[in-house]
Amino acid sequence: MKTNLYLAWSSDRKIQETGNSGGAVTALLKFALEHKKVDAVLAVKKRNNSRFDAVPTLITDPGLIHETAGTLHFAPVSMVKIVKNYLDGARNMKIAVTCKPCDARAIIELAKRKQIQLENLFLIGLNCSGTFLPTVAEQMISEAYGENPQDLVKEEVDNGKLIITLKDGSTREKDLEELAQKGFEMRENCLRCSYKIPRMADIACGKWGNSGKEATFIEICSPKGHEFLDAAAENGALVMEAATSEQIEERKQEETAAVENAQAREQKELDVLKNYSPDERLKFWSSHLQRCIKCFGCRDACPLCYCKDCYLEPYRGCVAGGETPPDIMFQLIRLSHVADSCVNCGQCQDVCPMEIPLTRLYNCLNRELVRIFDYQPGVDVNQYPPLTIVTDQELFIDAPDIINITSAAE
Amino acid sequence: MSNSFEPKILAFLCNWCSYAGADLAGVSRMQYPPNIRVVRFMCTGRIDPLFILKALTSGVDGVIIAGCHPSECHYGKGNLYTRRRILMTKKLLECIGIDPARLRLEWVAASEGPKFAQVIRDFTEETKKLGLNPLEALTRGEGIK
Amino acid sequence: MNYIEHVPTVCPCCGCGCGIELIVKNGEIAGIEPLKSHPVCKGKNCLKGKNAYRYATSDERLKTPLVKKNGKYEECSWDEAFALIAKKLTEADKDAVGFINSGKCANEDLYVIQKFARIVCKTNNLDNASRFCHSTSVPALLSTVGSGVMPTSTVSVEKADCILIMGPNLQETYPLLANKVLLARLRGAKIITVDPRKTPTVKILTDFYLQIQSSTDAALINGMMKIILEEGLEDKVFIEKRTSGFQDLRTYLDSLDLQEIEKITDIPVEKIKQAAVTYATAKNACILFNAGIAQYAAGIESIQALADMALLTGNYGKPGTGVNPLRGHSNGEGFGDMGTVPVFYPGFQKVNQETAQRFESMWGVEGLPSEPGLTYMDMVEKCSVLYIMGANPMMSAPDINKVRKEFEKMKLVVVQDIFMTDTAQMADVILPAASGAEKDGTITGVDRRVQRLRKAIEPVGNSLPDWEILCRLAGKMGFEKYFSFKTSEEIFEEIRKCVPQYHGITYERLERAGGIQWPCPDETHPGTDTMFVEKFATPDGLAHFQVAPGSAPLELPDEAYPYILTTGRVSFHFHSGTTTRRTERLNNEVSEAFAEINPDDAGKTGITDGEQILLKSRRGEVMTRVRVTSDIKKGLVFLPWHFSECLANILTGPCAGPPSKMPEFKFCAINIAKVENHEN
Repeated sequence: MKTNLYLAWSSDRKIQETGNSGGAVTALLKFALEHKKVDAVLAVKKRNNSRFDAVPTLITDPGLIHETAGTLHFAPVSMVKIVKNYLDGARNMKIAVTCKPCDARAIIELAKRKQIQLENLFLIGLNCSGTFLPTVAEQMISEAYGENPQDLVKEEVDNGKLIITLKDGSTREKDLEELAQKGFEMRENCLRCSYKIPRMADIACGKWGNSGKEATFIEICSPKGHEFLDAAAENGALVMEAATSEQIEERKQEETAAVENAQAREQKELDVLKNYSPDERLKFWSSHLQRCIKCFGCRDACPLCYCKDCYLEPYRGCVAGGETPPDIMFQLIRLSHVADSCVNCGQCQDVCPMEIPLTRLYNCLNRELVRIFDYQPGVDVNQYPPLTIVTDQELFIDAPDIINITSAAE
Repeated sequence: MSNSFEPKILAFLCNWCSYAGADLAGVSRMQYPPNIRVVRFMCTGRIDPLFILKALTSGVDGVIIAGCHPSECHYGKGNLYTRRRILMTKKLLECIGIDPARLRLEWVAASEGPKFAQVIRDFTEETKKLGLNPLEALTRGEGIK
Repeated sequence: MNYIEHVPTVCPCCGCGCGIELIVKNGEIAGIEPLKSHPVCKGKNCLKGKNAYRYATSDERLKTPLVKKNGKYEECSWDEAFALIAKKLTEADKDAVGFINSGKCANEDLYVIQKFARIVCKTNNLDNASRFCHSTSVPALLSTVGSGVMPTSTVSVEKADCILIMGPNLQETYPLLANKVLLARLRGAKIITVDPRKTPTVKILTDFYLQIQSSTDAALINGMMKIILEEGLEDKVFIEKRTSGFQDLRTYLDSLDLQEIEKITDIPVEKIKQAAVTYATAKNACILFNAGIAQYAAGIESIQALADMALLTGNYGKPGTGVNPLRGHSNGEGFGDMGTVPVFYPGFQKVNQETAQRFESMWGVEGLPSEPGLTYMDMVEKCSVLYIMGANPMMSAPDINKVRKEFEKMKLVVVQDIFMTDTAQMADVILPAASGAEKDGTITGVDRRVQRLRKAIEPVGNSLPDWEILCRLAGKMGFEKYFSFKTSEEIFEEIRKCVPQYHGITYERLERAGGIQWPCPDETHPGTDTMFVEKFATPDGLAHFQVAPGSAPLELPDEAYPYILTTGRVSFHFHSGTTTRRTERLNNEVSEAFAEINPDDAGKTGITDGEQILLKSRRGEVMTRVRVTSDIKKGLVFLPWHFSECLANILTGPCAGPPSKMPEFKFCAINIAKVENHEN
C-alpha cells in the first residue's frame, strides 16, 4: 500500500452500530484476538453501563470486545499504569492497547526506560480533543443540560460543541465556551494539549476527515501498523478506502484549529505565571504546595514515576516522614525527576485531594526544557531523555550557558 | 537588604580541576570573600539536582558549581552531564519562583587560581544583591501569605 | 494468562467513605487506586486510602481460632472454640454478658451481633466506640433537632459560604472532607477554625483562627450567639416558623458578659465578634464538629449551643448548612443505625416493651429484652463474659490500667478480630475475622451514605466474615432458625425490613459508586442529601432551643498535675493503629509516638526537643519522645493514641454520668518530666 491515510469501517453491521464512526477500532480489536495477532486486548469499558464510570479491562475472549465499543469522553483513565504495574510491562504477552495520545506518549517514555516491552504492544491510538472528569461531567449533564446523567448513551465533541445523545434518541448540544462559563470544562491539561492525533502510536484513529460518514479516519504510523491493517483488510474484518485529498485537507484543518486553540490557551495560562515577578511566582506556588497532605497520589498516578526505591519515601532520608505538609523538597524532587519527560497526561492533578494545579507547574517547566533541549517527550522511542545523554559536540563548547549544542538524538 | 547582609554560599567543586584551582588560589594568597563553604566531589557529574535544591531550601543563598572545562573531565564527560542538569535546574528554579541566578555553573581548571578567586568574588557580589533566600521563610513553615 | 479485575469498594478508615478500587490479579490484591467516579472522593484518596487493605495480607493476620491454655495460645478448630464460648454464655448470669462491637464492621455483621445478643443471650448489653465520640452528640442533637445524624452531605459542604470547623483537624483526619472545605474556600467561602492547637487545618484552610482554651466551647458559642442577637443578625422568620423555646435562650444570652467570656475562652472579644458576624451573615453556613468538643461531659451542652446557633441563623434544612457530627469509622453511622447500642433496637427504635414486641413478631421469637442495657465501660466493669467484635478497648478505652484489671477478672473474653490487638492479648478465645476486602457487605459513612463493600479476595487462612462466625455460633447453640443467612445480601434484606431509613435501599441499587444516603423510604427514592428541609425529627416537627451554659471538665489541673492532656490523631495512622502500624508505607512516615508541648512549658521543666519525657496522671504513666512546638497552647499537651507502646489512654480516665457516659479524652490532668538517665 502506498498511502498511509484511510477511511475504514467494520464489515460487521452489529459492530458498525455499537462502535463509533463505523466501529473500525472495535473491529480491529476483535480481529486481533480472533486471529491471535495478540494475546489480549487492553481497552476501556463502562461499569454498570455508566458513561461516567470507566474501567480498563483486559480481554482475551473476542466475544467480549463489544463491551468496549464507543468512545468515552468522561473517562480519563490511564492505560499506562495497567501495562506497567499489572501486566508486567507486557514482557510476557502481546497486547493491543487502545490509547489516548498521552497514554501512547507515556508508554513510549517507559519503553525508553526499559519498563515496557514496546515490541509486544500494538498501540491503537485514538484522536483526543480532551476529556472531562466523570464527576464534573455528571454535574454538567444534570445542571447545564438539565438531563438525567443516567439517560446518556453517547457524547461527542465536534466543532467546539459538546453533543449528547439520550436514551430516547434525542440529542442536545451546547457550546464548550458556554459550558466553560458555567464552570464545566475539560481537564486543565487537556485544554493545553497539542497532541490531538497520536502519531506516535502504531495507528491513529479518529473521526476528523471522515466527511460526516460513519467511518474512522486511520493514519498508519508504523510498519507494524501497515502489517496489521493489511491483514485485517485481507481477512475482511475491516473495509478500507484511501482517503481523498479533500478528506485529508479537512482533517488537517480540524487538527490545525484544535492545536492552535490549545497552544493559545497554553500560552495564555502559562504566560500569567511567566509575567509574575519571581517573588509573586514563589508566593503563588507556595500557597498551593503548602496544602499538600503527602498522599503520594501524584507520584503513584504519574506514568513516569516507577522507581522501586523512591526518593520521596522517608527511609531515603531526603524528605522527613510524618510531616503535613511535607518539606517542599517532596515537590521539588518529583518535579526535577519528571521535568523533561512529562507527557501532560494530567493524572497527577486529577488525584490531588488538595486541588494543587500540578499540571501547570510541570507543563511550565517541561515547555522550557522541550525548547532548550529540542526534545519531544513520548514521540520517538529512540530519542533518549536529554539528561541521560551527552554528545561529542558538547566537548567543544566554551561556556556553560550555551544551549544550542544540545542535540538529543544519538 | 542592608549592606551587612552576608550571603551563605555553597561551592560544589570537583576534585581534579576546580578544587585544585581553589587550592592554587589559596597558596597564591589570592583574596576572595569568605562566604563560601566548599563541598568536594570527585566529579561534578556526581551532583544530583537534589543537592542543589536541598541547599537552596535549607537557607543557602547561592550555589556555585565549578567543574572541569569540556574535554578535560577526568572521567570523560561527567562535566557535560552536569551542564545539562544545571540548565534543567535553573529552569526549575525559575518556574518555582527562585531567581535562577542563585545557581551558577563555571569551568575552572586546576591551573586557574585567579579565575577561581574572580568567580567567587563575582558570585558573592551577585548573591549579595539578590538578598536573603525567600524559600527560607517557606520551609520554616511560615509560608508566604 | 493474566486476568486483572477492578473491584470498587470503600476505604476502611475514616467516615468520609471514599471510593477505592482494588486491583485483583490471580486472587491477590495487586494494587489500589482511587475511584474516579465516586461523588465524594472524585478520584482522590489520602495516604491511608491509597494503602487501604494492604494490611489484609500481612503475615500477622489471625488465621485460625485460638484458645488460651495454660497461659499460651493454641490453635483449635472452630467447633472447639464455639463449644467453649457456648458453654460460658449459657452458664453466665443474666446481664453478665456484654457485646462490644465496632464501626469497623459492616452493617450485616452488626445486625447479626445485636440479633445474637438479644435472641441468644436475651440482653441489651451492646455498645461500641460511638460511646467514646458521639455519646454526647446524640442526646444534644436529639434535644434540639430530633436526630443525631449529619444533616447535610459531604458533597454539599462545598456549597457553604461559611464553614465553622469546631475542633476537627480535617486536613489530617478527614482529608476528603477538607477537600470540600477547600473547594468552598476557593469559591470565596470564609472558614473559621476553633482549636487549641494550630493544626495543618488552621495553617492551610483557615481564614479566622480562634485558639480556644480547652473545654470552654459552650462559652464561646454562647458568646457568639449573644453577639449575633446584639447585631440583629438572627433569622427571625426561621425562628418564628420552625423553632420553639427562643425566649428562654434570649434571656440566658442577655445575662452573659462578653468580657467574662473573653477571660474564660482566652479569645479576644473582637475575634469572637468577627467569627460570629461572619457566620451569621453567610447565606449558607455550615458547622463541622467531632471529638474535639464532643469528648467532654459538657459536650452535650457545647453541641446544644452549636445547634442553637445554627437554628438562630436559619442554618438548617439547606444543602451545606447544619451542625454536622463527623463519624470516625468507615461504618460510623451504621453502627448506630443497626441498633448495636444499649438503648436502641435497629432503626433507632427505643428499647422498651413496645419495641421488643415489634421485633418479637418480626423475628418470630419471644422474650426479647426490653430494658436498656449496660454501656461500654459499665460492661467492662460489671460483666463477667465479654464478646468483643472488632473493638480494641485495651487501647481506646479510658484508664487502661483499670481496664486491664477488669479484663483479668473476667470469666471469658472472646475477641473476634483480624490481628492480635492489645485486646486480643487479654482474650481467652480468639476468633479470626475476615477483613473488609474479603467479604461483601454494606457500610454507612458520615453523611448517612450506605455503600457496598465488595469482596476482592478470599478470606485469609481460616478466617470468616464476622456475621458468619456469629451465625455458626448461634447454630451451635440451637438458634439456627434465626441465623440461617447464607449471604450478606440476605441479611441486608432483613435489615431493610426493620430499619425504616434503609427501606428503599437494595444491593442492586447500591451498584453505583457513591451509594445511597438514607432516609430512603422506597425503591424509587433517590436518597436524601439534606435533612430537615420541611420539618425536624422532633415529635412536633419544630426545633427546640436549649439553654446550654456548659460546665467545667471533670478533672481540672492542680498543683500535682498542672498540665492538660488532650489526645488526637495524625494523618498517617488510623485510630488504634491495628491496621496502619502494620502497613509499611504508613508506619514509615510516623513510626513512633510523640508528645507535643509548648516551648514555655518545655522551658519550665528543662525539656528539650526530641528527648524522652515522662507523662504522668493519677492513673498511670507513659514515656515518649517530645516535640516542642509553638503550635500548641501553653499548658496543653497533645498525645496521639495510635501507638500501643505509648498508650495515651493509660493517662485518661474520668467519664461523664448518664445519659452520655462519655470519657473526657480531650481533657485530663497530667504532669510532665524529663526522663533522667534514659537509654534510648
